[in-house]
Amino acid sequence: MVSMSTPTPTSTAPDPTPTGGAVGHAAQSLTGQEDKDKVASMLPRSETPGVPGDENQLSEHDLYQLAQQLKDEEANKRPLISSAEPLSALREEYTNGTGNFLEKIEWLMSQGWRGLRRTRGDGDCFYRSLAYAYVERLLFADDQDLAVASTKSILEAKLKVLEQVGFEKLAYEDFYDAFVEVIDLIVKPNQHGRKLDANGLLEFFQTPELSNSAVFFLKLVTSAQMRSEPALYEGFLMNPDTGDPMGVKEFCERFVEAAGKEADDPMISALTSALSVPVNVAYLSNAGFSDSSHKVNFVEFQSEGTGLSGAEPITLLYRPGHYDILEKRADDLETRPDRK
Amino acid sequence: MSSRATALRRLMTEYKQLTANGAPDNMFTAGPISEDNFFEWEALIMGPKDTPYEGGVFAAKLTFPSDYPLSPFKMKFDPPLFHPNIYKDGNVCISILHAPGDDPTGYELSSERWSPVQSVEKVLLSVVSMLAEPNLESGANIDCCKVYRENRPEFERIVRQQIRDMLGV
Repeated sequence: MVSMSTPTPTSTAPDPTPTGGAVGHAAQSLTGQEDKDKVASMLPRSETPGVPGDENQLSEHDLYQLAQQLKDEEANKRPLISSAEPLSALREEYTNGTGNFLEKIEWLMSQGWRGLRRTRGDGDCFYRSLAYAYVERLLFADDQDLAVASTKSILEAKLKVLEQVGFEKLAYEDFYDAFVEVIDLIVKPNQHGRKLDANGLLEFFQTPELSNSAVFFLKLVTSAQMRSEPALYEGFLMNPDTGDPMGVKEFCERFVEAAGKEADDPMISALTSALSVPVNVAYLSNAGFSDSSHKVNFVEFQSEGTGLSGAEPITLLYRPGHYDILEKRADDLETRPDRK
Repeated sequence: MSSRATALRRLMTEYKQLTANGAPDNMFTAGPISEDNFFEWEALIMGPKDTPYEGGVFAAKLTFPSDYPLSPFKMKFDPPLFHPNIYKDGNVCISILHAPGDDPTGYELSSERWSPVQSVEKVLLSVVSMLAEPNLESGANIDCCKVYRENRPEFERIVRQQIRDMLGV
C-alpha cells in the first residue's frame, strides 16, 4: 500500500510533491519516529534523563496536544481542498527536476487537462478528492435534476448495505445526511433561496467537520462494499506493514474505516463499484515511459452500471503517495468544464 | 448543520440507547454530568469479578470533542486508578481511544483503534476488559507495570487498598 502516512525510505527519485509533499507528510504522519522526535524536541527536557519510558510517562498528553498543534499549524498552510489552479503551475514545479514528470504533465495538458485541484496530504486525500469530484460532477451535469436524483437513489441503496454488513445506524446516519444535504442543495435552494455553486462546494469541503463527514461516509461505503462481497476482495488484501494476507473484516476495521489510512486499489475498486461511478486515475510518476508515445498511464476503475447518471468519469491525478483532482477547467472562475 | 450539532445529536442518541438498554451485566453506567452540557459525561465502572478491582466502583470523566465522533473522546479516572494502562493523573491509555495515527506508547499493530463506528459503550467495554487484563506492551504507569510484572501480590494489595481508601473503609 502506498501511503503518505507510512514514510518510505528516501529514494533517488526527486520528491514528487515539491510544494505539497513535505507539508502533507508532516501534517499526518505523527506516528513516525522523526515526528516523535520533532514533537519531543518541543518539550522541556526531562529532569531525569535516561529512564526508559520516562519521557512518555511525563508527557503523553503533552505529546498528544503538541502533535495536534503541529497538525493544526500544518493545516493552516494548505486547505483540505484547494481552488483549481492551472496545470501549468504544477509543470513549473518540475522544471528543475528530471524530464519524465515534465513530459508527462505536458502530455496531460495536450489531452485537454487544464487544471489541478489539490487535496491536503492527510492520509484521506483519495476519499476527499473523490467526494469532491463526485459532487462537482453533479453540479456540472447537463441534467442536474436527473443526475442528483439518480445519485441520491444510489446513495440511499447503500444504507441497506451498511445495515446488512452490521454497522449501527448511529455510526453512519449523520454522515449520510450531511452528504446528501449538500447534494440536494444543487437542485433545491436553501432557506436563503440559494443553491450550491462552485464556491459553496469548495467551502463545504474546506470545512473540516463537513469535509471529514463526507470522507468518513465514503469510507464506510467502501468498507460495506468489501464486507458484502468478501470473495471479490479477499485475495487482494494484505497488511501494508507486514505483507501478510488479511481477512476483509479486519482489513476494513484497520485500513478502511480508520482515519488517515490511504486508499489502495482494492478500496478504489470497491468504492467505484459501490457508487456506480467510473474513476480514472492518471499515474504521474518518474518511471520511464512504457512506449515511445510518452503518455501518462491512466488506470480505469469501472464497474457494472457505472455511468448510470450520464455524468463524466472522475479523474484523479496520482503522484506517489498522494491523490489530487484533475480538471478540464484551469480555475474555478470557468463555470463549466471544457467539454469536447 | 454545524459539527457541534452533529456531535450533540450523536451523543444524545448514544445516551438514549445506553439508558434504554443498560450495559451488559451492569458493568457500567454513563451519562452527561449535567443536562446542560452533553460534552462532559461521567461513567461509573464496576470492578470486574475475579480481579483485584472487584468490589470497587470507579468514576471516570469522559470529555467529548466538538467533532465527535470523527475524533475520539478522552477518559480520565477521578480519582486516578492504579493500573498499568492508566496514567498517574487518571487518563486512560487504550488504543481504541486513539486514531491510527496517534501512537504514543506503541500499541500493537492489531489493536483496535478509534473510528466513528466505535461508541461510548464499546470503549467502556474495552476499558472493563483492560481492567481485567492489563496490556503491558503499552504501559502508561511505568511503576505500576513494574510492580505488576515483578510482584503480583503487591500489585493486588495496592489495588485493594486503593479501593478501600476510595470507599472510606
